[in-house]
Amino acid sequence: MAWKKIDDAQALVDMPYSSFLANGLTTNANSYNTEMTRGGGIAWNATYPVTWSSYWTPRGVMFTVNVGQSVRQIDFKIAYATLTASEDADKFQGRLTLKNLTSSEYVTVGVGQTNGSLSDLTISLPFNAPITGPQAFALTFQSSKLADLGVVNVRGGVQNTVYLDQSGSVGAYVITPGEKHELLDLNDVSATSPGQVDTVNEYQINAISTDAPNPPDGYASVSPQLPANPPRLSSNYATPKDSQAHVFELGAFTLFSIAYNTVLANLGIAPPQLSHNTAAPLAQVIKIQNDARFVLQPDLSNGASQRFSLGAVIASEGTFPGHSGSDQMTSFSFFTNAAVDNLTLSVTFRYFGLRRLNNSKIQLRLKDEAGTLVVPEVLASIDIYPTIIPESVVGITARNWYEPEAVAAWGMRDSMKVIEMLAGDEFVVNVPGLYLLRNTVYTVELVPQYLATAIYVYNLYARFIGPIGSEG
Amino acid sequence: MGFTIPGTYPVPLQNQGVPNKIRAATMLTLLERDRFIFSNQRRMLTSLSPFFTTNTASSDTAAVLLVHNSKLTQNAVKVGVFGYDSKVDVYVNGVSATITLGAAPDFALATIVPGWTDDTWVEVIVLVQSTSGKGGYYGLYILESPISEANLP
Repeated sequence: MAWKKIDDAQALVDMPYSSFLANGLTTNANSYNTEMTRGGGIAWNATYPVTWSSYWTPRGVMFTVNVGQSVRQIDFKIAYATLTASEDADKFQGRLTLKNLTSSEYVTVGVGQTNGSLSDLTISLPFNAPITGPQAFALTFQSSKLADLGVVNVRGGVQNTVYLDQSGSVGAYVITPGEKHELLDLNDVSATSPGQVDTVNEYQINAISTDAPNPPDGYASVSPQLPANPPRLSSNYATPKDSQAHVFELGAFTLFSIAYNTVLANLGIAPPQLSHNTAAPLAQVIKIQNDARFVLQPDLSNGASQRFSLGAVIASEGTFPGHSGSDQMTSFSFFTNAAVDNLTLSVTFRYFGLRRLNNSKIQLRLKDEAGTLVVPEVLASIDIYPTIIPESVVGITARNWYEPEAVAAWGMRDSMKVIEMLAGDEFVVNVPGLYLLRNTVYTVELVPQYLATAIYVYNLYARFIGPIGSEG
Repeated sequence: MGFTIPGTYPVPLQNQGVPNKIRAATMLTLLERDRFIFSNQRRMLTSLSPFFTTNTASSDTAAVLLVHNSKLTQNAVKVGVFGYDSKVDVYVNGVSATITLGAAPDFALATIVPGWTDDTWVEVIVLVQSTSGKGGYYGLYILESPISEANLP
């Protein structure tokens, strides 16, 4: 290990510093990047885990972690499960892509089946240029087309719904209600509508309802949305264009956690101390120390999530009838190894809402162990916009936007395409000038105020930074 | 022979005195800062989102994750949790601590000595059981303990 103790008994008052001390100090400072590498993990609810599938595009979750300083490679450990034991021709259920959203560097790996059991895989992500500090990443999954589940009678469709009837054929697909990770393949439907451009013949089934009115036997909620006059389908159940289509299983990915470990970093660049009485080279050591104080500070939170969800919906009290207070805010707890003196708590997240609402408020409450406010509540203004790419809203709405206790009901869940992750607005709230005790549990709560709506929060990241304007 | 880790980050240097000379007191500050950073800036293993349950008969699994510890650790982690009406079992590398939270608001700090090897992947599991029909936590935080003076390399 490069970092070593340097005995302070050798540095007495009014002595000129020795090159021995300076060199030891320089060696230590230069070793921070490699000896104090960063790591940690983000976990989702394991009792009500989030499972999603996505056939056409990779979809997933955005997260931010502090990678450390001058980092050249990070290893990620993904704890996951697949719903079934099915495999594609390459022995995978799908592909995972891990992407650094700053450098755009990424790695794609195959996801082996686990048949419902917890397993893990490692993804190594190297960087051409070193990266430092908080970094945003996207973990996305794209499903493989798996086992043929049988044929189903297709009677028509409109918008996000396809009408299904149970087939009497041997080996027919059995229509059952609930969340689905399946693909409706219309390629074998024989009667293509004359004159229509037949572009999309595969639709992901995210859920099936068997509620009345019947017929049909089932209503399949599909993605993407059907065109206005869909080829091979009729918008009228009574005048179906054709009969049988195949349903295939899709790879379905259950995410339990993402952990990271920095494995390669560049050394610090303070020059060696060749002279015992030259102060200038130590300036670089001082800068390294100041930077390290903040960059190597442990993160306070890397995410906000609820059951069956990759993010969290938060709402003001009274926004919906079943409001139970604690469930509709998001929060995290932390403590420190050392006293916090004049640091700033910085909380960042991305968000979108159901509708536009200007100049609303987000309330940040920092509480101590007794639940008492450490500093007055911080009210920060926030403008709410619906996401410009609302696909994930369907998943949140299926779960019931206002009800975090609701059960899973949409095969894509609230997973997002990378472009949708980046489309959400970013919000930053800082609480400056904090003096906190070591080994004391503090809790941060984030609650919207004065809103008649709710917001979806994702990519939450919290840490301490220096006094505003002075971070090294 | 004195060798201590300061409790707070030493005041940043404002003036190094005569150009090209650094006094020993200034050097001492740099040394203390070096120790402070190396000892305290350990890894946060995880910070968990709120988890509440109505299950009083058995525990629900709140989180399962694999995390990688530091290259040098104290072989100790601390768990901090804030919540109410629940029994929280935290396993780190198979070694557990049971934390009982009472009426809201309640908190706890617990130390686990995981008996792990430094610089390796370890499993963390968190289980939660309600003691009242509705309980859990608003946040749960696991941080590597600081390196003691005796264990600094």
